[in-house]
Amino acid sequence: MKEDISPAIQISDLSIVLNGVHILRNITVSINHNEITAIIGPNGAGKTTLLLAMMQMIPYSGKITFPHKNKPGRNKPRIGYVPQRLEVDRGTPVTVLDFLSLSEQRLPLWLGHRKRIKDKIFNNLERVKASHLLKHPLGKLSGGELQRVLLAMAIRDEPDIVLLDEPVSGVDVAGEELFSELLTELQKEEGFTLVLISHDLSVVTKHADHVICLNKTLRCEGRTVEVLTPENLAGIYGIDKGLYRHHTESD
Amino acid sequence: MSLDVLYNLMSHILPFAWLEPTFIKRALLAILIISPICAAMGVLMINFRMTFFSDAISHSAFTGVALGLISNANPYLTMILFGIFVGIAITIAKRNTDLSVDAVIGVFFSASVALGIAVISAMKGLTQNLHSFIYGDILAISDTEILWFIGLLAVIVGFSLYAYNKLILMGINERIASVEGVSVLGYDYAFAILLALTITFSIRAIGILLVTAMLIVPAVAGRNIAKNVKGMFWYPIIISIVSGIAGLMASYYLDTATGATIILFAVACFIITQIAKVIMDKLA
Repeated sequence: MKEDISPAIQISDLSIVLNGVHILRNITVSINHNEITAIIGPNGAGKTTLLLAMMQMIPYSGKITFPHKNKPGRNKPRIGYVPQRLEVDRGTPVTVLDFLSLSEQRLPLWLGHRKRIKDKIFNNLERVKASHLLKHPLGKLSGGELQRVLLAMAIRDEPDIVLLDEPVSGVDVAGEELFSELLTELQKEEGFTLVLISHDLSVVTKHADHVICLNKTLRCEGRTVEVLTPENLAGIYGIDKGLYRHHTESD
Repeated sequence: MSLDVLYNLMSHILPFAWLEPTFIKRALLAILIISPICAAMGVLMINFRMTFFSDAISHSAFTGVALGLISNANPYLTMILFGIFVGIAITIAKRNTDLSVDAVIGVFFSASVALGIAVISAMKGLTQNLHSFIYGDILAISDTEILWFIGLLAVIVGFSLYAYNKLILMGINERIASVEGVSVLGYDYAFAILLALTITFSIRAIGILLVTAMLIVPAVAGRNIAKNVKGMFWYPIIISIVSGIAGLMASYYLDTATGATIILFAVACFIITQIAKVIMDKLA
């Protein structure tokens, strides 16, 4: 059978205006299936807005389609999403098990957890190396632990596309590298299309196949090594911007 | 419809002197229904950070009651309908303007209280009618009102069975909830309406001044000792019922306002659970 090489996400002439402000203008870009695509750009560039448009959460003009064939039994792609942050106070009694059960279990949690769901959640947490966090309160997790839990939620049920909004913004440098390695590993194993917003160009260089540069319009896009040139970075972020590699303990 | 069968049963099961009068039995029944409703909705209200919203609805009762009194309609009915109107209006404004939630609620709060007070002050002789609304009058509750409370309880139980997980998820992150297929807008409005109903019904028992406390205090007290969502749901209900019964009994013997006495017992529970939490955290 001929392999389906159509893109996972096709964005055509996308423009978004919110409260009279042009957030994005005339964006046309394809995101390939089974690749890691990074979206980079300065603050206010419209990166999160683009992700929200992909999830059909905000109104837009233009078209966003998902041409690539979905996994069997689906008439639309299953999208997993990892937001930048959660609104939980530190004292909340909601545990990781509770949080991950909220979208899995029909029985209200005040009647307890179903064993089948609990086992499934434990297995998902094992995939992201966070099974020890099952009974931990959500509010007491570190930045890195929370990102793993959110990733466990996003990758359940074999997603077609996984979207991450600055997944390592609350994590230290060593944690960033570990998380990025985990992401890449999962993406290779599961074969989903991964789109992530990242400010960390070191992570992008190491792990992304494809880069989209945004600053209200599409400034550049293509293979990572071709796109991340000093000229392009200057165009997106301003002059005198370059790439500096993180130094970790293993260096 | 008379609930005499129920009161006779209560006399057999609870043969205490303070429960002898039928109006006390009625008040106890009302508390046993309203307390778990307030506790369950209070937990969700804290989940959504909507305590100020609750104040706005409860204080809008001034205008709701005033509308009833000047139009010769049932003031309880106009209070409930106006409360729902304010709840929906705040939710619409919150979703469709750039204003912060606090600002939106603040405006509606101020407008509805000012309007109510202006109307009441213009209509001489109405202020005496407000006493039971401001402080609550659970001892004057009728069998018909209890049946309405039972109806509300059935709706809240049904809503909690169907929508509880979705609402907790919405409170944590609306975008995740939306991606997971939750109709965020629909549930936002549904919750606002049910919260408005809970508050306006509870005003009958607890009064405008303290109804928000009836929702918040047991919920916060329960959260202190809860270790998960299940505990976060049931501990506030237990605390609310215990405070309700203790408050009713104490107010009977001390001749104090029942609503306020219930809240004082709930606050005592909060203090106890807060101490317990501090001790548990130190031992952990």
